Order: sequence, then structure tokens, then C-alpha cells
Amino acid sequence: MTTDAIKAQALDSVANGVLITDGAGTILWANRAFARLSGHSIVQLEGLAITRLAFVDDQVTLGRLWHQLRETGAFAGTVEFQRPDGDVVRIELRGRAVIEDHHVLIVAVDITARQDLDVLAARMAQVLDAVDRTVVTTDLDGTIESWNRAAEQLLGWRASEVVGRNVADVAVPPWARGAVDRARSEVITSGTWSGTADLARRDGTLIPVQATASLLRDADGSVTGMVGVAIDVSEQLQHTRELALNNGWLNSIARHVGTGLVTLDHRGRIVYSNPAADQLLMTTAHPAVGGSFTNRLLGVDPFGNAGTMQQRLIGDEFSTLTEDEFIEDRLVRGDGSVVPIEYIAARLPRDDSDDRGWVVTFRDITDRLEREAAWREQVATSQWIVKINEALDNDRFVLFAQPIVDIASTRVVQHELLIRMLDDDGTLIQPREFIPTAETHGLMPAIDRWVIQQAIGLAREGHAVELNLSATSLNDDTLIHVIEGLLTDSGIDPGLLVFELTETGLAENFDTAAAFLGRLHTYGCHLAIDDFGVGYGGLTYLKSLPIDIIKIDIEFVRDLLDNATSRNVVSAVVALAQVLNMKTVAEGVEDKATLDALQSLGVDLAQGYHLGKPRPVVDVIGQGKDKR
Amino acid sequence: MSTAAGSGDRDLERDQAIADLTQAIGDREQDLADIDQRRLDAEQGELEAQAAQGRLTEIDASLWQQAISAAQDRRDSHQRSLDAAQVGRDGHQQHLNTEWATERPPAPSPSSPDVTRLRIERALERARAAEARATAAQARAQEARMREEQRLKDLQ
Repeated sequence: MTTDAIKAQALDSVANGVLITDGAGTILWANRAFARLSGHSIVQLEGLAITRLAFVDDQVTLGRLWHQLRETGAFAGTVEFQRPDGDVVRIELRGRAVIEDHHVLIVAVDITARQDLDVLAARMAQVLDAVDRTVVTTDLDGTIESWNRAAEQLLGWRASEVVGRNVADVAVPPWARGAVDRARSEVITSGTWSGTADLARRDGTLIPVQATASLLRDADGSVTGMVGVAIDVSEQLQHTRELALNNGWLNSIARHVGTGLVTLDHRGRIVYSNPAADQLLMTTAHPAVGGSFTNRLLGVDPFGNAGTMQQRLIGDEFSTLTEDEFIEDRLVRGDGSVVPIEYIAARLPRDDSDDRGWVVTFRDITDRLEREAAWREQVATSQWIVKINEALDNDRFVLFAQPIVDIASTRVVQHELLIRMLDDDGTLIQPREFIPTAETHGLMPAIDRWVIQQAIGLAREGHAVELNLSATSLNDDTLIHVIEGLLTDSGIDPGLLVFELTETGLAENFDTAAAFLGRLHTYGCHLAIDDFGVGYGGLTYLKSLPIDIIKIDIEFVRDLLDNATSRNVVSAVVALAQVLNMKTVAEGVEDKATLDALQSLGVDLAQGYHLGKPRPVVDVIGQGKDKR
Repeated sequence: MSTAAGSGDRDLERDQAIADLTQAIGDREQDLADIDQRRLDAEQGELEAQAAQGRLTEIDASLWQQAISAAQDRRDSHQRSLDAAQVGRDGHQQHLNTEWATERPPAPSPSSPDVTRLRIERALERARAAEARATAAQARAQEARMREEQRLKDLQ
């Protein structure tokens, strides 16, 4: 083998492509590696201009390389060859002129793969620069290898200033370096670490971050370093702090506000209740949460607003619940008691509208209602006082008369006089409207005097009449003298007058009443106990008062036919009246069956709608006016 | 003109009539209280039925149970006052019975046998009514005991 052959065999065995061209670039010889690299056979290559292997653009590049060769005797550059199979390979060419025979020796290295890696690395660097998270790679000792743009912005150091330095010296405050060491150990042992930390910026300020760190490995799995990713959470922490603060405020307000506050789910069940709500609901024994709030509302408010909250929360009625309107209702408390409340309900601001709940504030309005009722009563009382006085001054009282019938003979034996007041527009006002005010404001003696005058007028015409006497009139010392004077002046038969007093009236001032009634009885007037059986616990007063008539309360008469105990009461009253030589009158007789029952029980007299409704006295028994 | 004995009779008759009326009113009050109790029993039954049908949550059932229990407590308290009043009336009636027993017999007259018979009949009637009241009171006490037992059972 010649020396040249030995050299050629040696060049064939090297991994890189080797070729020899003449001075114009025509290939004279190529080794096997170059043939593999170019995709041509050695035979095809020999005699081929090297420019034919390159793309058109790179042919220009080759021209520049040859120019460089002529100038310097060598060249280096990269070109892309297109192989016959269509693949493109990037070749690094290094050429040197062999002066003695005007040949050029060229070494060709395939850098296609290396080029791809460079591209990938450049892209990764761009990606890392583009992400808004701080990404830093280090070796296992913490020496910084890369530092992305977000890290520059967050920490104030440029990459060129920190690469090669230890990350602990650059970005970790001195007091936290121990923690960093522990985190690094954890990464090395378990492969990853995450947590929160304060990083130091270049200006010395601290910035809270949420960080993770992981091991970096090469293609064969060997550990080559670490990568740390950090997110600035200062804004998030600020929001969290503000949220916590706001929550604290809200909780504080909710807990200390005197108004009850509950939040409800969409079915009206309590999700949260503040202490004031617990107190109003009285949930000591039963926790409020989980129980229905709406079930506790009775839905009948003092002003008659229609619909309970329960109803308002169901189906289409949702929309009718306005959020700026206080609604009055009654709330059942834990002990079963009922308290008036007012509440306002607003929907909870949630996105999932199907399950939106409610926030309800409510408060006990007992005091307010009582105050308002007292005000209304005061106003009404003032108005009644004015009306009563005007009625007295302007003769606007009128008398009605209701017949009282002897049951056995069915004959009307007397009439009960019942007072009414004429309003400004001529309508009649029932006594229950104005008598309470008159009794509490000292107006009854004047009214009673007016009635007594009318009654005496009727008696003068020969009519037997019953008139009601207020208990408060008994305290009027002059009234008995007035009656005495009227009886004397009129010359009537006092027996035509029956004065009625209720048991309650007697009980309130027994001694005064006894003296008053005693005087009336002395004059020859008759006395009746009204509403007998309901007003007074003991009945011993019957032994000491000159009572002539017992008027059995309507309560015992109304259910006489159905209630055996009522019949027993009536029977006992009749027995007592017989023993005491009194007559009995049943009030409120509304049908014949009751009348028959009363007769069978021995009741003497009866009155009621069945026997005659109250009618104006002038229509029933005459003018009745005292013409004196 | 009445004799002294006759006047005493009338006083006793009057006191007895007042006592009878007081008792009749007391009986009626007890009657109304019994109606109240029956309504409460009905409400209790309705509550249990609603709870059994799952129409009330456990918490709500418990709440309403407490409301009914509070009403029952008030009823029981009222019943105790009625019982106390009845004890008072019974005592008074016993006193009147003693008075009747020691009262001098009426002077012989054509009407005396009738008056005596009437008094005996009334006394018997009162005794029967008192017995009926005692039976009813016993039944009420038994029901109250059962309610209390049930309440204790519910608490366990």
C-alpha cells in the first residue's frame, strides 16, 4: 500500500467529513464520512463542484469562503447542503489551502443537531423572558446559571450581574438563608419544594413570593442543577389582608349591631345568625343554623300586609319581595312566644342564581308598636273627649230602647235604655266606642245625668225603663242628690226605674256602690246586676245589697242549648234568685229554642234580638225628653 | 213572719244557692279548660303527624314542640288554680253540709215532708256531681301524668 493509500484509509476512518478540492472547488477526493453526510457516493462526488451540493443562497456563501481562502489561505463557515433524499444538513466547513499543489483540504462537520439545540435554547430563553414569573436556574450549590427578565424586574438585578453568583447572596435576606439551605436540602432529597418566602430586592426591600423549586436533570437523568419559580404575591397578600380586614369589620358589625341578621339559603333555612338574631329567635336550646326562618313567621302583620315571607320566597313570588321595603310580621320564638318584628330581605350576591339565598335583617318592634298604639290611643282619646263634650253641649246623644219580655206572658214589661252618640255626619256611634274614654276621663257622671234625665222623662210618661249606671259615676257625691231631686220634682213612680250596675263596677268600689244603691233602693227604685256571672269571683255581696234583678250574662245564654255547664249556671242563678226573692233576666236571646229553654229553667224575663232589637226610643216608647 | 229556725233555714238556703252557683260557674270554667286541653292534644297530634310525614325539619319540629309544651305548662298552671279553687269550694260545701246536718228540723207542717225530700234530693245531686267531678279530676291527673312521662321519654 502506498503512502497515499494509507493516508486515504486513515482519513476514511475519521468521523468528520474530509474532502479535497482543486482551487476552483471541484471535488477531487472525499472520505466516506463526507459521502454519508452529503448523501452522495464517493464516485458521484469526485469531479463535482462543491457548490453543486449547496442551496443557491449558500452557493454565494461558498463563493465568499473561497474569496476568504484566497485572501487568508483558510476559511471557516457554515452552509446548508441538500441531500438527494431531500433532507437538509447544516455543515460547518473549515478549509485550508495546500499551496504546493493548489489543492484545498476541507473538514466538514454536521452541525444540524447542534443548530436545533441552539434554536431550542434561544426559544426557551425567549419563553422564560416572556413569562411573568421569576425563573432562576442554579447549580446544586445555588450558583445562578440563568435569570429571566421577570427576575430582573422583580428583584432589580440584571442577569449579567448575577449569573455566577450564589442566589442566597443575591436575593435572600440574611436571616432567611438558613431557611433557603433547608429548602435546597429538601429539593435535593425529595426532588421538589414549595412554600412562601420573602425575597430581598436589590434596593433592600422585601417582596413576598410563592415559590417552587425542582431538580434539573439532563437527558440521561443526572442531576445538573435546580430551577426555582417564584410569583410575587404581595398584591394577593394585600388583598387577603384587606379581605380579612373587611371580614373582620363585617363580622364585628354583624356581631355587635343590635338588629337581628340572618342569611338564608334559597329555601329559607338559616345559614348564619348573629347574636342579636339568636337572642330574638331564642335559640339557646336549639341552634338557629339549619332551622327554617320563614317557618317562624306567622305572616299576619298588624297592618294586614298580604302574604308571609314563606309565601314570598316560593316560586314566582320571589320577584314580589322588594329589597327596600320593611315588612312587618310576627315571629315565633324558641319558647313558643310570638314577637312582632319588621324585616327587610335582600338577595345574596351570588353568580349561581338558582341557589341564591337571602340576607335578612329584622328587629323586635314591640316597643315601637306599643308606642304607636299609645300615640294612636292618645290621639283617639283626645278626639273622643272633644266629641263627647260637643255631644253633651249640643244634645247629640240619643237613646235606644230594647224590650224586656216576661217569658211566661210574652208581654213587654220594661225597656233597657241604651245610649248612642250622633257623629257630625249623623251616623250613630256605638257606646263601646266612646264609653271607655268617658269612663277614664271623668265624663261618665255627665253622660249618666243626661241618661237619668231622659229615663225620668220616660217614666213620667208611664214607661218602665232600665238604665245603665257607670261605676265611675258612683264616686260623684252629687249624683245621688241630683237623682233625688229629679225624682221629687218629677213625681214619678220610682219603681218604674231600674238602675243597672255591672258586677265589675260593684267590685271596684263596693262600699261606695253599696251606699249608693242603698239610697236608690230607699227611694223606691229597682236595682239590677248586669252581666251577672262573669265579672266577679265571689257572690257574697248578694247577701248585703238590695238587688232586685239579676241579668244573666249573654255568655251563659248563647250556648245554653249545647252546653250543660251553661245550663247549670243558669239553673243555679234561678235557684239563687228564688232564694233571695229576685227576678232573673236572660240577655242575648236570639232564638225561640233558647227562650223555651230559659222558660223551662225558670228564668223570669228575657231580652235579645229574638224579642226585639234596640231601636230609637222615640220609635219604641215615645219622646222621652225631659221637658222641664 | 218567720221563726228563728225559719230564718236560719233561709240563710242556709241562700248560702247553699250561692255555693251552688259558684260551683256551676266553676264547673263551666273547668269545662272551658277541658276544651283548651283537647285543642292542645289535637295540636300535639298534628305536630307529630307533620313530623312523621317529613314536612317539618327536626329543628322546626323541636321548636313547635317547645311552643306546645309552653302552652301546656300554662294550661297545667291554670288547672292547678282551678283545682285549688275547687278544693276551696269543696271545703265550703262540707261546711254547708255540716250546717245542714245540725240545722234544726223544720216545724211540722203539711209542706215539711216535701221540703225535706227536696233537700235530700238536692244533697244527693250535689254528691253525685261531686263524685263526677272527682272522677274527671282523676282522669285529668292521669292524663297529666302520661303527658309528663311522654315528655321525659322524649328528652331521653
